[in-house]
Formats: sequence, structure tokens, C-alpha cells
Amino acid sequence: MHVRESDWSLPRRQSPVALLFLFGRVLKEFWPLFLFLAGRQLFGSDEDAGKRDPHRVLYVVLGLAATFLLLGLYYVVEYLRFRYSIRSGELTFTSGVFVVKKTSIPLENIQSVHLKQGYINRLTDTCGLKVETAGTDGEELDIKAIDREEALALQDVLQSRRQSSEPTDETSSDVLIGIRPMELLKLAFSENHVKTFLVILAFAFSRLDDLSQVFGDRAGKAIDERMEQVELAGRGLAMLAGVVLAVTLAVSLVRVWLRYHGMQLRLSEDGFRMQWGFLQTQRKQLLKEKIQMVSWSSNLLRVLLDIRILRFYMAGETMVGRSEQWIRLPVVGEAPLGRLTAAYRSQPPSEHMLENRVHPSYGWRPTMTIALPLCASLSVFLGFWKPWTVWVPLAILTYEAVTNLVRRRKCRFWYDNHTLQVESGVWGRHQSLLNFERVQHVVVKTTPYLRSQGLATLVLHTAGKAVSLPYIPDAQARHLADLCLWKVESRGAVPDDGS
Amino acid sequence: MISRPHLQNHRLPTFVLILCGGHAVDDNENKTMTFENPFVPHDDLPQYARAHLNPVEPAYKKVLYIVWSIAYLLLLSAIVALYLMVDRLRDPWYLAAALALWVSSAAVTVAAIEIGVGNRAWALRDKDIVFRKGWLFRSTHIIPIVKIQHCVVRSGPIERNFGLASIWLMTAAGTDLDTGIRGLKQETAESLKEWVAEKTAAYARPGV
Repeated sequence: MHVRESDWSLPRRQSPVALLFLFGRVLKEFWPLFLFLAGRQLFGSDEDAGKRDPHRVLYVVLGLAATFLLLGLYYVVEYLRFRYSIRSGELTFTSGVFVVKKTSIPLENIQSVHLKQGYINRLTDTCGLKVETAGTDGEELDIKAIDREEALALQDVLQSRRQSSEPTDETSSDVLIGIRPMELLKLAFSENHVKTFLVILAFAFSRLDDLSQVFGDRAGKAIDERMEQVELAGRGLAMLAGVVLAVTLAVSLVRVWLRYHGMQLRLSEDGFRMQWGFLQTQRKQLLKEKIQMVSWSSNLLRVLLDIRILRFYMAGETMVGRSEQWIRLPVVGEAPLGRLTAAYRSQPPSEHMLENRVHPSYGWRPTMTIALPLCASLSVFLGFWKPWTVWVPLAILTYEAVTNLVRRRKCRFWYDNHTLQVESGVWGRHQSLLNFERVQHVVVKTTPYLRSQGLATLVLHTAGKAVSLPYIPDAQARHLADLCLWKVESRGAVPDDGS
Repeated sequence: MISRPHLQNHRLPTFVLILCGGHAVDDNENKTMTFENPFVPHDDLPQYARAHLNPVEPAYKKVLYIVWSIAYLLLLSAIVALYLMVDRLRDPWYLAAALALWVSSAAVTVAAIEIGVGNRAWALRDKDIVFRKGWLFRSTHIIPIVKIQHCVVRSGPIERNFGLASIWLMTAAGTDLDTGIRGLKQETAESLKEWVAEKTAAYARPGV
């Protein structure tokens, strides 16, 4: 294709479609102001109407138009100033309106290149492209829109760290994961509904607050009056519970649909190629060498349905609109899980090593040192205030005691010379795989109690997440720390994470 | 299968086998045929716990006393001001309770400074930096040089007055970790920074 053969050393602009996104940003930032003005106009108090200047609306409209014009001009200049190129093994881009900023990112420091395609991108056959680097220096490139072919070619060039690239043939590799509609339903059914309900509740309250601010107290009062008319007893409560359950399930289904619709994961030479999204099609390359840690977890329902949520922790990785440094994939069945984790570690230590457990005191000590004092203080306070509520802290204490005991019983780990595998969880199951050479920072912690028992807590920090082994024998903690450091330090002089 | 005869037929935890210099593999022969992973005995590994740690400068204790004295004096002023200015709080019992809390917090802080500074120590090894901190809750941090992204030397006005500084070692593990070695001489911190910068630059060059 002509684009792939072109010279990347020549500075390039974004597609003019990017201007639409820039103008869209203005609308996005100003919509609360529109809503406020419209609300005041429609629901404003009648007493003020007589005192209004008849030209007030005109002034407001003119003021807004002038603001838009200035912002529009600003974004046009921003668009014209933005250029990117690849020269001498570095991705260079210039940006800025008043202060022109030139940033260079060495290609070996690029952690991932992320493509996304919204409705506007689809209509105009363009793609958004985001380049992520390790650390939080903010040296990231965010292109709103470039030609789709050019985006794919640029992704290949940047990911393969060379200035020429082979064409991408997506059909040549096997699909490792593809989500079928039935599996989407299972996933939605086994979502954390309590969390979904709390999200709905928080959303509803925040919207209610917004409405009250925009439309004044009248909207709030109207809702309060309606609520007072509803009889909450017997049948009404059952109906309310039914509606809440139905809404929660529906929202879970929509969330799962939006998150996993069209998800496909293909094996490539250097890792995986991933595609997902319903409203926005997103493509991403997961390089094996960038994976810092792998974990998979299932809640109680998902254990029964044989579903796991697999997470690849990546250095400098951020999902669109999220701050977490991981990529999440639903996996149904044991076989695909093995194929996916094999990219990180071909044989997990649990398959050939003996298991290790944490000290029994991990099962009761957190209850005695944290939950008991807190619940006892709360009980004393509630006992004086409303004695019949004392059962609440007692119930919390019982729950904490049981969960801590279960947590200790379920916590076990395995390790060999290369990898640490940890299994944990209370009601569900959580597994982590960590290759020692990915560790950035080792911490051995002790408390007076741990020291008296010859125990310690080992924390291994990676660029994606930390793994903690609590209440293990001090000698074992020191051995694991030394083994880990030996693997990191004897691996050679070249850093593995783009650092 | 276990390589030490006296440990055979015992499913011991992995670390016990390592401490005994053992070699643990699964009973399944097929797995041992395809995957070899001999254990490295702990004694054969360089051990961070054997590193001789250098204590931080004794003057750092003075810095901490000055900083905390300022904080506690401000707190005391706030307690007295509230007692004198707010009618609802003008109760000798409230004042006594607040002062008791103030005195006990100050006592804990003094103990934390006295013992905590004694526990602060650091060591430079060829390939990593080890430092220890904490009083009741002690922690030992080990940061491989190869993983350090950059380091920063910081010193506040009180530290500067005593010729002290601290060095912060940043890795890709995140900025929310407390990776600072405090209570170093200004010159030590600067030379440490230069040494780390040289080392990291050397590691960053392929083939070096």
C-alpha cells in the first residue's frame, strides 16, 4: 500500500477529521452551561421575568458565539501546529499554540500503541491513535484522527521498532478468544450486581443533584412530593425489589455488551492482537515482552460457570478512560487460559512445585488487631446511643473473622527459579503469576508480632501491580527476595521494560 | 522426586527443601523430562541481609526534632486558641483531654525519632541499593540499579542547615512508594546520585 511505503521522516499532520473532535471537545466542555441557561429560561422564577432586560438573551447568544469563535480558532491553530514524524529511531511530535512544544520518544521506550475507532472515525475511515510510554512523564502522543491504513502502518512501525513494516494480515493467525452471545449472557449474569447497583445509585444521586442545581429547588420538591405519595409496604417493597433487580441485570448486560462485544484475540509473533468494542472499535497489540504480570480471578458464580477474568498487567498501560494498568479478558474454560498464560510462563510453578502456605496467625491476627478494636469501639458508641443497633458491629466482626479465616485457608503459593504463583481469595478465586525478572522493587516488612514469630511480609512491586506474600517465614521471605534480585540483576544490562 | 535421600517421600514446603539444599520436582517423570528447573540453594545466592548497612547521619535526629517541635507547637497553639475563643469548648475537662492526647502523641513521636533514626540505614551493593527504615513497623527496601529510572536529591531548609539531604530512587513501580533514603550528608547524596546515574546510563546502553 502506498502509505506503508511512504517516508515517516517527513512531518505529518492529522486528518482534517481531527478538527471535528477538537470542536466536539468545546461542545463537551460547554454543555452544562447550555443546560443551565436553558433550565433558567424554562424553569426560572416568574417574579424575575418582569425585571429582565429584553436584550439579555441576545447578549448571551453573542457572548457564547464569540467564545466559540475564539475557541474554534484556537483549535484550528492547534491542529495546524501538530506534526509527527519518525526520525533517527525516535517518534517526534510538535504541539502547542502559544508555546510550541517538541517531544521525542525513543522507539524502544514505547510501551504500546492503541487504536480506537468511534462512529465519526468509522464514517470517515479514520482511526484515533495513542502511544503510551513507561512511567508517568506524560510524554504520550494522542492523535485524534488519521487515515486508517496509515494508523495501522504506524502502529506496526512503532511496535516493531523499525521504520519499515510488513503488511498486517489479521486473518492469518488463530482466534484465541472470541466471545459468543451465550457467553456474554453468562458474563452479565455473573457480574458483581452489588457493585452495579451501587454504580446506578451513585449515578442517580449525582444526576438528581445536577437537576436540582440546574432547575432549582422546584425539581427536587416535585420528586420529593412524588416519593411521599408512594406507599412502601408489603407488595410495594416486593415490586421495588423486583424492579431494582431487573434494572441491575439490564445494566450489567449493557455494561458487559459494551465492554466485550466483538472481542477477538489473535496470536501474533510477538504477542497478541486484540480487538473489541461496540460503539468504539479498538485494536491493540499486546507485546509479550511488555507483560509485567498475569492474574485471573473468578467470583463464586463464575467458579461454577467456569469463567475467569484474565488480566495482563502492562507497563505504562492505560485503557481508554481508565487509570488501571491492565488489559482485561474474559476466558471460558481451562484450555484457552493455558494458551494465554503460556505467553508469559509456559509451565506455572503449581504444576511442578510443592505448595507453600502462609502462617495460621494470618487467619486471626487481622481480626484481632483491626476488626475487633474498631467493632468494640463502635459497639460502645452505639450501645449508649441506640442499644438495639449493637448487632451491626457484632455482625461485621463475625463476617470479618470468618472471611479472614477463609482468606488464610485459601492463600497458597508456589515458586521456582523464575516465577512466583499466588492463589488467594475469599468467596471467589484469584491467581497471579509473576516472573521474578519483572520485579522493580522488593520490600520485606515486619511488625513486632511478626518479628517475635520469625515471620515477615514480602512485597514484590512490578511496573503494573504489586504482589504481597503476608505472614511467611522470615527465612523464606529473605530467600525469595534474594532469588528475585538474582534473577533481575543477572539478566543482563539491558532493561526489559523500556526503562 | 527429591534429590536428597533423607528428604524423600516427604512433601515438605519448597523453602524447607531449599534451606536443606534439596531439589524438588513433581513425582510425574514426564514433567521432569520436558522441564528442567534445578533449585539454587540460598547460600549460593548473594544475600541482601548480609550487606553491612551504614547508619544515617546522627544530625538527622536534630532535624526531625526541630520539624516535629514546630508541628507540635502549632498544634498546642490551636488547642489553647480553641479553648480560649470557643465558648462551647471552654471546659477544663476538654482542655485536660486534649493536653493528655498532645503529651502522649509527643511521647510516641520522641520514641519514634529516637528508635526510628537508629534503625535507618542503607547500603550500596554493586547491583542494588538496600535501605531499612521504621520503628515498630520496619521495612527493608531493595531496589535493583537496573530498574531505577531516575533519582532526585532533595533537601529542605532545616536539612540544608545541618548539611543533610535525601535521595529518592524512582522506578517504574510508581511514584506513590516511599523510596527515599533520608538523613544523608549532602555530599553523600550528590555522589550517590552521580553513581546511580552513571550505572543506569551504562545499563541503558545495549551490550554494556
